[in-house]
Amino acid sequence: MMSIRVLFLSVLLLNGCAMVPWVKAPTGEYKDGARKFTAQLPQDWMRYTRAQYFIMTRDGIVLDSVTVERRKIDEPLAFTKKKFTKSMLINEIADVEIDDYKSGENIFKFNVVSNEPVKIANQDGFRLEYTYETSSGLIKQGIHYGFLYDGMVYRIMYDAAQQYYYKQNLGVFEKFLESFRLI
Amino acid sequence: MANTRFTQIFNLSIVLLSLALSGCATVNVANMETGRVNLEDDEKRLMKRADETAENIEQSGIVFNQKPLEDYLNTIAQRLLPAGSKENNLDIKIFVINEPTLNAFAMPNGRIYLHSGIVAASANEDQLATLIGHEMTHILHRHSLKQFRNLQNQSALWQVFALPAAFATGGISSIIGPLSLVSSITGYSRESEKEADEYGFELTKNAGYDIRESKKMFEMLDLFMKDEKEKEPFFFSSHPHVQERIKNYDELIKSATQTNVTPTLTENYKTLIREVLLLNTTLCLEKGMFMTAQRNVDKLVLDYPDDKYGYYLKGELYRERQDTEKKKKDRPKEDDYKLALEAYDKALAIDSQYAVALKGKAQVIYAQGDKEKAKEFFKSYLTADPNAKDKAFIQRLIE
Repeated sequence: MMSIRVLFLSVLLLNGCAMVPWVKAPTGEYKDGARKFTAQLPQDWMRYTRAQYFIMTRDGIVLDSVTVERRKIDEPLAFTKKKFTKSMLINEIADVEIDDYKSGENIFKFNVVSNEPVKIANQDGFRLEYTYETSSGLIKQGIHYGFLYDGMVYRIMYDAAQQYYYKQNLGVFEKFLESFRLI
Repeated sequence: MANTRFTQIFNLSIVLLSLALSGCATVNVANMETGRVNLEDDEKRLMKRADETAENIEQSGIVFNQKPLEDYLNTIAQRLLPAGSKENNLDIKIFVINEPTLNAFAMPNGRIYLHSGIVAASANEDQLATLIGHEMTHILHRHSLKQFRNLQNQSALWQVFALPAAFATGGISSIIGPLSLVSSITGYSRESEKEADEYGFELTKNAGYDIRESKKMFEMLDLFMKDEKEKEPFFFSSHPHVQERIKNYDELIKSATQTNVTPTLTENYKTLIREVLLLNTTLCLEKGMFMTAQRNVDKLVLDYPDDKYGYYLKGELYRERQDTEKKKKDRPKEDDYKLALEAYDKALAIDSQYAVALKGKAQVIYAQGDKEKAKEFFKSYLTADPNAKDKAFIQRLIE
């Protein structure tokens, strides 16, 4: 879902409306003051940051991407009109995320592979694994970690083409996640 | 958000282009009800693309595969089909797609797709016939071909925008190929839509449906747009607006003569529509379209007072609406949690071990602050459904 949003942005940028903001991600410890996290970044990935988004990709966002998003709890979601609230249980937060994916334009045959509670960055959260098909028939697989912290919703997402790329870069995402800390 | 902004930019571009194109010369082609029509090369190509698109739609997983419902809708279509068109061996087939907005579209190859939202909103067979008659006219009057030939005159300009347009309209149109077919979803020219209203009206009248029901589909569309604060489901600004169409239908009804005809509301219709109502309520809840979900669910519990699923969905509606809309100024004044509990209780009165209703009730009680009581209901939920998909979440909560 994220990659589709970013794809629109990339198309406009490539049309010469603005400088391409993608930069090579520095290998090693990375501190993101705006999204308030630190993590180890892998080698040879490109990084893009804007507003609440940190995105990195190795082969292009259509094929693989890791996104960290820190958003206001009452900020409207991309596709569903539902909203998060501070009093929601973790599984209710996960349910809203699932509904947002299911309501997504260009997301077809969305399927939840697993959805379970986890601890992430010492916070109670969920781990959602899913598959879906894009309008062009590309099958994608992803993992979405989510939790509430300091009145904000955190999303840490890995989204990749199921064939080849998902497995290829899963280890990178897991290492990124292991090193993820809130600041 | 970026997506919204770019969509608006693309929408604006297309609207400006469509305004520029509004002066195009009219393409004259024979209507299919007038007798045998020989397809020209460009129309054959259009048909081929329509077949490929239909395959894409069917493979995308958005078709609500309910054969009895499709058979029923196809029977209405056959009743509407004018005798003069039979020589063309039109293969009209109707499908319902999982989409809660109120819209429908037809492809030149005879495929008609009705959104579950508009089928769920119908009150009787006559209203469905109006909808099918309208879409069937787009096929009989070869509106895709006319659109295609008009667009060809501007092909270079359109090619630049064709891809973004398909993306910008999103959803179903993103799996449609050529822009002339995207138009079948986003709408045709003002003239074509007016023609489809008028000839579709003739078809429903000739088939013996109650013509007084015809304008009600547009009244429902008007209501839906107000409920969900949606724009008209047409991409081109040159379309007749809904209010204008309601007025046109009023005039058509006044000028037509029909006696002793009443709306067709059979048990078969009610049984088949129930499935669509269940599907559509679920889709509305996913999208947070609570007003439409409420219209659907009210209809469900009214028609099926012994159906636990209807009450469960009603409970979900109120619970989720309370969570989402508690800060909204124009939200209904009712205590949604109270209404949710009443609805869950009605479902549980029918089936005391109805797992999802037990969970819904537990969630409401938890949100109201009585965590110990909520835990008891969460336990009952896991007892009723030991393999619940969210078992791990609930167990963690109980512990």
